[in-house]
Amino acid sequence: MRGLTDLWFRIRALFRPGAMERDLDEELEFHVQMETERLIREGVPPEEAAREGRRRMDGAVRPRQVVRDAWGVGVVWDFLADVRHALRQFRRRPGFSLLGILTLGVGLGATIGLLGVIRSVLVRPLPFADEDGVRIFWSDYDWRGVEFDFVKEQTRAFQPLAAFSADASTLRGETSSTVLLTGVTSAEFFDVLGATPLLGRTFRPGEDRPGSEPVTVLSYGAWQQELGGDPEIVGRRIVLNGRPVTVIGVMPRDFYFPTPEFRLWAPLDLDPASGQYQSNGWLVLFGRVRPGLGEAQVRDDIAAIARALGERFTYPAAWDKTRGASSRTAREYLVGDVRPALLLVFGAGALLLLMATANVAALILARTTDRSQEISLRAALGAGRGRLARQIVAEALTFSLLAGAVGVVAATLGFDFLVRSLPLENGLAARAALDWGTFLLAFVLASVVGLVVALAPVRDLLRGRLAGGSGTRGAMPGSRAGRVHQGLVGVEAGVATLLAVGALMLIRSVSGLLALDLGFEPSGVVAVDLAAAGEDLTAPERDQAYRAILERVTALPGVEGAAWTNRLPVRDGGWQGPVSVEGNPDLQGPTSPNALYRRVSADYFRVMGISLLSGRLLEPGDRVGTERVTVINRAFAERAWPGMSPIGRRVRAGVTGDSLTVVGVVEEVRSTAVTGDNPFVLYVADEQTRGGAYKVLVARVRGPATPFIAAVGRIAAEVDPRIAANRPTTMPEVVETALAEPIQLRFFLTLFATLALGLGVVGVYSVASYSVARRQTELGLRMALGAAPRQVLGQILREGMGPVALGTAAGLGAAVVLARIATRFLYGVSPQDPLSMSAAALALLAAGMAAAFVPALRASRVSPVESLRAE
Amino acid sequence: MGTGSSVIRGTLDMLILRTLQLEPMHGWGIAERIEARSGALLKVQPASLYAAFHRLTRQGWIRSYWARTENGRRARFYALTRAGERQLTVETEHWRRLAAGVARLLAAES
Repeated sequence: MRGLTDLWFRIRALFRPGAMERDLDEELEFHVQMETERLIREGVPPEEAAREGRRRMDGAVRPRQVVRDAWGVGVVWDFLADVRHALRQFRRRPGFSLLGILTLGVGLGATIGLLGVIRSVLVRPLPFADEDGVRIFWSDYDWRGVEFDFVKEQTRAFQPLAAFSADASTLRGETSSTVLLTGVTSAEFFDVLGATPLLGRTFRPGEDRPGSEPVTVLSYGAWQQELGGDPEIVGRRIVLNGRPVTVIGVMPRDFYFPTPEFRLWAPLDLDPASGQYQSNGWLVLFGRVRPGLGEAQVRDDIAAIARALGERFTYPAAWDKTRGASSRTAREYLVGDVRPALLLVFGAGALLLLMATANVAALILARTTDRSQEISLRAALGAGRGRLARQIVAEALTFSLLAGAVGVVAATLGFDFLVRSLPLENGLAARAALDWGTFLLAFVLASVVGLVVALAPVRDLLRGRLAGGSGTRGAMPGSRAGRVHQGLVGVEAGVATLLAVGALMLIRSVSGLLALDLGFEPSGVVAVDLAAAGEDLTAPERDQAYRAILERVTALPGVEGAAWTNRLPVRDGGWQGPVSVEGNPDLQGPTSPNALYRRVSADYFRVMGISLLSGRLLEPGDRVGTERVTVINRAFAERAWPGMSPIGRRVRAGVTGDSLTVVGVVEEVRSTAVTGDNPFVLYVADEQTRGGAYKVLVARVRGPATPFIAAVGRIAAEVDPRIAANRPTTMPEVVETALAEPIQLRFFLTLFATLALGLGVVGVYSVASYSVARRQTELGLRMALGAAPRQVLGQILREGMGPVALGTAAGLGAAVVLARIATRFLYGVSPQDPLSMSAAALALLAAGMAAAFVPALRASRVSPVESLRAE
Repeated sequence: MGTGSSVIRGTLDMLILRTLQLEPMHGWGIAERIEARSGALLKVQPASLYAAFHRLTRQGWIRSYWARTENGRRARFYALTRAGERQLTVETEHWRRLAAGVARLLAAES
């Protein structure tokens, strides 16, 4: 209770001192009147009584001052006065102050922006209930329907358990068709996530089994954009893939799973009688852990499931599901991939902030040392050391909070650019935002920086090292302030070295990646996805339409060739199915190797620039009715028929597949990713297979891509408006996207390293200049006593370079230790790359030398006579 | 009495509380009462007095309100709060013990 009264009083004193003072004045006036009246009663003449009454009030001590002190808010008022004083000081040396505020502001801005991204992407809760309880099973997109039902029976720890996969649906609109990324899921999907719909309902049990009515749940985005936000949407029928489907619900605005790019969800068709159910591995399994179960029990359950799988199904060694059984949390699954890169960039940003803080600390320390005379004077006049220390802190805080404001503005303005430059995938970029929590953190961070910056000068003050010093003996190398300066320079050199090493290693990695032989020629190749899915589109109609499209596209001006493929290299993964190698019992049946299926038209290899190694490519003559052929890649050839020619050999594709004759071998192509292992590839002729509904058109185009893409869209619509064009891109773009993470990291580290180098140069320069300026007398004396200007130059340079050299060495040491963290981002470059390290060290030393050179030169030009005269 | 040490300050606080224990009063009246009852030994500086009023208000031992005196003049009155009553009891006891201790010390010396 007492505490509250006290607080209330202080708040009133802080915000309404005027009112309190007026009351006090009135009260004191009353007192004077009463005293005057008493004096009159005692017989004093009225005039004299009035004078005496007033004199007794004012007395030796002014009452108003004493009373105000009793209000308990003196500290606050002192602080405000100090801030005003500090601002006046800044205006007197605007260049220096501005430089410091901007330097710190940039460091703070980078850190705040990155903090904002990390908080909103990594830390903010995912848009469904209790994310910790949701676990994703191992072996993504690899489970079969039959396995799913089996696991559902077997599990003791997961309730409910669901499955999902990705698919594409063509939404038939009034005038055109669009392709929407679809999540096909089992009925329990939304229950596992604990997600409730905004409108309508989610799937009911049984809706994922044959015979149930076709339904779909829309995402908020799809409802708004593709269906115009129709308020009567629930119960309406839309046409998906040529079939009428009833919309049963709409999800809330910020719900998504697994990425925001999924626009709607449809139930699986789990039909035990279908071949797909039995043999197509394409599902992701995930479930909610039963309440009350611990980590150990979850692990045991997973292990038990793996064992049971091994007993029920047989797996070849290549894709044995019983091995590596584990589960990941939903958060890990959705954001885990970006965490390392984000943290790396954040770490680099924090190092930059450290450097900026060191610079500012050196500047403030220099200024305080300069004012040691002023400070001694004040101390002599009675200002307590505590009061002076508070003044220094107030100055440092004003500085850092101003810089913080600059940083916040910079972070807000540059946030979009920052998010675009970071390796955020899977629509995570959409989640990134600056919120009030981040601004609060920014304020706290700026305050901490201010306090850190004030640390050295305050310590010096409180230990009496500043008072009583004569101005010219300021920060000599031997003095404590001088040592702190050198320490700061050393720290900056170390940080800059570390960042420079990182940047150089990434530059080399990326160069290496970009120079990789992809096995095909990406420049000039444009790709457009086409979807002809629809129950009202028969297979012959579809094939006819596609043939017409290919013909017309090939005839376009500037097109050197066009072809079909079912999947685009690098960008698309693709289904790997078992391939039996005839004549080799080791590679048949359950031990068949897996290979990627690529359904391509004859011109594909020419368009992509894939070279032939032996035999022949696919030809227009390979069509329905002729011998079924295939072209394979080199790795497959060597595995299946080591040392022999594969031409003429046969393989059997799939479980019920036809026998294919190998007619050619082509060079390795980066089929699924830029780096990593290359799978076996089986190229089959598009014409010879049951042509798929989804194809990717690839064409080698002379000239700009955009008009070509527009032309393709037009042709597709003219040939058949039920066919939708989707995802236009160019191969160079695809490769760049695949390399986005290392490319963006390279950008950030290079930027930070450059900034750090700049800061380091400023730091060395100012410390050296300051030191030289303070030592005019000593230097003049030295030269008067016979030292050559060159010697003085050398001395200053050595003093300046000393900490730089030490710091650089420390930075290299840190780089060696931290290299382990970086391995994941490097390609073709060892974490202890000597080239990067030596280049970084050289750059640092050169920069340090250059920065110290000008002050050293100035020192050597000091005229001995003048400097002695100035003392 | 000066504005200085906390012992003196504490004594002044106690005297103010004691004065207000009898009845609520305005500032000048309290000063006069203290002077009168102590036999003119203690003449309080207005600065210390009014600073003490504000301190005691902050601590929640007295409260103030504006009212009219018998002469119809507007003045600020102070009154003891319940917490103030309790505090006065504590302080009085403490003062008595202090005085007894000092007295014992002086008696032993002679």
